[in-house]
Amino acid sequence: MNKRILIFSATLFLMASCGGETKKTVETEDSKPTAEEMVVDYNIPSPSDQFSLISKLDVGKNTKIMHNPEDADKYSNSAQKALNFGVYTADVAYLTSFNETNQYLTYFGKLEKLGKDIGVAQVFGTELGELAKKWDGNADSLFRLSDETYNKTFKRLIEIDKGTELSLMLVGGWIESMHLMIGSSKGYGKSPKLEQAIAEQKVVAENLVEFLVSYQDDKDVAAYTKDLRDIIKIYDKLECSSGETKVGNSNGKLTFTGGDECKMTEACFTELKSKIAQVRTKITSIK
Amino acid sequence: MKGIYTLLFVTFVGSFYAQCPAIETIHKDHLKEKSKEKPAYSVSSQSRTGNVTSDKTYEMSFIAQPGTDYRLTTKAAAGSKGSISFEIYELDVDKKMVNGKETYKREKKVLASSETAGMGSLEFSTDKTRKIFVAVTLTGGDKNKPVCVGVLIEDKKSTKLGL
Repeated sequence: MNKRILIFSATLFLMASCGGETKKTVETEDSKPTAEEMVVDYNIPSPSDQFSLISKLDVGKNTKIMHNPEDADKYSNSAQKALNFGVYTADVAYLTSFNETNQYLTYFGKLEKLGKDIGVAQVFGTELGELAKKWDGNADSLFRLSDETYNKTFKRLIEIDKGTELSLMLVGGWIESMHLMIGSSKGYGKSPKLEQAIAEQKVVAENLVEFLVSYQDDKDVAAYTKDLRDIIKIYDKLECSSGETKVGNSNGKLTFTGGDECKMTEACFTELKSKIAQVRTKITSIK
Repeated sequence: MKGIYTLLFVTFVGSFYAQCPAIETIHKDHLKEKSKEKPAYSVSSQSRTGNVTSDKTYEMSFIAQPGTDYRLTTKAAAGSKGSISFEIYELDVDKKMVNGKETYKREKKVLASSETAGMGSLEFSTDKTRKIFVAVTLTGGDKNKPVCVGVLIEDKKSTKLGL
């Protein structure tokens, strides 16, 4: 279902320093093992996975920039409901990652409402709602509950063949995650670890676009794919260096270190912030 | 009559391209065996099932993040014929100068394989966010009958952050 033909054919890369004057066009060529066509299933981490990492970095918690929960009742079409379901999954993950549990039930209630509207009422049933109330105030338990809600919704949408809704949920979740990450920065240069984590989101954006490729018949998915490709173009301006990945082995557990690396620049950070804000406004605005 | 033909067609197509069982079903023995571990791994939403025929490969890509321990296990659905093997790899971009021009070549860099893991699971962590590919190959079995394989990805918070 969520498959596409991955063709590593020769392409042109436009490399430039972000906001800089120097631009150079370089050619790519392909190595033998990847020249053949392959069918690949692409995946991205859940918002909970993202924020469990981000919350430990040099960030400033900023719950004021989360989406207004009251807006959940105002969306009328299924695309907006799926998109904003994704947005609220990121918001609840952010809340629990930062031990902010007092707004949890409000946001969880909105997730439940939109979830029913997009066809995943079965995910919520009565059990999850009961657990949300039972664990109110317990950030660790609520964090697991948020992750479980996301995972069950993901699986259910695949089971009932709602790839379009799943695609839009992933877009909403990732855009909101990026919005919250950028909004948690203490300012460019003041949160270097967070900036690095944001730079590394490039591979997440790439996999998300690959996931969406199968659902281009839907006009909303196609439109947001274009937005994501524009975001990747901004990422392509990062200052990157290539390196070899090293594999270490400690008592049978492997560690992967090194490899290609990209560094955030102030111009890229600003450009990303602006583009993410623009796409998020399109997702969350009431039509 | 038309209804009967439709039913026969759906049954035929459905049996050939059978929908795979849930990842938890394919890996139920593993998940039961590991359920008492502490701290426990959780099943990641990036786990996948897919169809593969003999001598062909099923591929999926997932994102691994620092600060997380991963455990990867592959298994064919119960009753499947043939044996599976896997490798996980990255696509490295190798920058070279060719005839005075900067050329970027994507190279497959194998990080680990079922040979590394033996018969069991592969545990790993990473120092940064990486796009990792998993290739599962089926050897033996019926060339005309697809087999369901499950790529189970489990994760848990690392005690030490990689960033």
